[in-house]
Amino acid sequence: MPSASPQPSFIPREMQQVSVVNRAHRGGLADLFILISIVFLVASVALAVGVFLYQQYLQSSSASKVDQLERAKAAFEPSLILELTRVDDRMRAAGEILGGHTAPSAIFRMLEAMTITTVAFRSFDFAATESGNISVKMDGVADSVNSIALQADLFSKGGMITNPIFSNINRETDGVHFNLSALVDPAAINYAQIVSGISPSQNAGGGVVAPAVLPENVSPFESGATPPAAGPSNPPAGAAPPATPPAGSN
Amino acid sequence: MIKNLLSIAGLALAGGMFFLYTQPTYDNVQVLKERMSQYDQALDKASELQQLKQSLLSRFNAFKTEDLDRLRKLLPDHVDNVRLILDLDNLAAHHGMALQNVVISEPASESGGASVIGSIGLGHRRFDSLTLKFSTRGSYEDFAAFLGDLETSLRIVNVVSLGLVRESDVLTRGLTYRYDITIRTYWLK
Repeated sequence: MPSASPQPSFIPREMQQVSVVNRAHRGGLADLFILISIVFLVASVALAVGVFLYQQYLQSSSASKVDQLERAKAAFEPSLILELTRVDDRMRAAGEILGGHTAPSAIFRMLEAMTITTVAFRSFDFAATESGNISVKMDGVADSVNSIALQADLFSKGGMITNPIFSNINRETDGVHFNLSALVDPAAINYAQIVSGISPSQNAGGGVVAPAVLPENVSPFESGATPPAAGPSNPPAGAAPPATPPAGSN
Repeated sequence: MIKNLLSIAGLALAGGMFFLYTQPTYDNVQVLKERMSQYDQALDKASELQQLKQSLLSRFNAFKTEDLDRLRKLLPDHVDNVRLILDLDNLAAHHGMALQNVVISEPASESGGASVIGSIGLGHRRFDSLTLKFSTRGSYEDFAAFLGDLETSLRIVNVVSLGLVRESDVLTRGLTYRYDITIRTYWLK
């Protein structure tokens, strides 16, 4: 007896079974791929949304902080800060200038205190350079070379004048003419030190036996030298005759 | 087949979204976070400065107005040389003398100073200066008093050079002198 139903396909039954199994395998793999892609897609969307929201939060927060900074800047009152800075600059600059402020009148007070009566100065030149060197040049007349020597000795001991050089010493009818050039100790005429009382000019002549110096506040430019014809030169008491001629004497 | 295409499309979409939007946005977020950190630092600094400002302001308010005015006269904002000459002339007149041959130099910052070293130093200074030269005549006593007043004047001037030459006064038959004076005056830049 023949079989009840004829075989409808030319493909063998075993082959059909293998194909079904393969299809099932392929379908499972495709499902896995779909699952993975869905997972990735969801994760990517979640990340994108998260980053977007975080960026929005940071932008609003940043705007808020910029606003706070603007308010803080306005609270500084730039005009007030400018004024305070200006006052600070002024105080510092004034301190710097006052620190270098000089009082040349101290030199005149020293000359008044230390010029002996037999010496008179005819001219005076004072020069202060940017580097802080202060020099004086004077022309004078004395009644004798001994007086010049005594004057040089007094200046050397005074402290304010350093390196006094007496030159061009010439005996003329009205006395012995001379030139004096010297450096001045800048500290001795520093205004701040004079005011605070620590300048050597405060005791100019102090400790130095200055015989027959001019009375206080008398011009060192007006005390006349005694002409040689009027009599022999008399060095003031205590004045030792110079052992050597002053530097630069002719 | 459709499932495969869908999965590939899903993966491509996920990758595209990540690389084209999420990553650049994340980089931007990092920049924003760094900027936020700088803003926080600036706000902290602003808070400190505010406290400092308050303390400086309380110190500034402790200054008397008269003292600040004196400080402004001591070192003015401008050279104001005409006012200075007037003040000097008044000062000289107070001692019976008169100013003559007034010559004003260029400011030190424009003339470049006396030396190369001087011009380098001038750049760092907060103040500028110029010299003013003048002559006057009078007795030694008057000049000594004038010089003393000049040294102690509120407007600071420094004597740069001073020449004294004896002259005789025919009218009073007394000794008078000619004084050639150069002073340096200062102002705040």
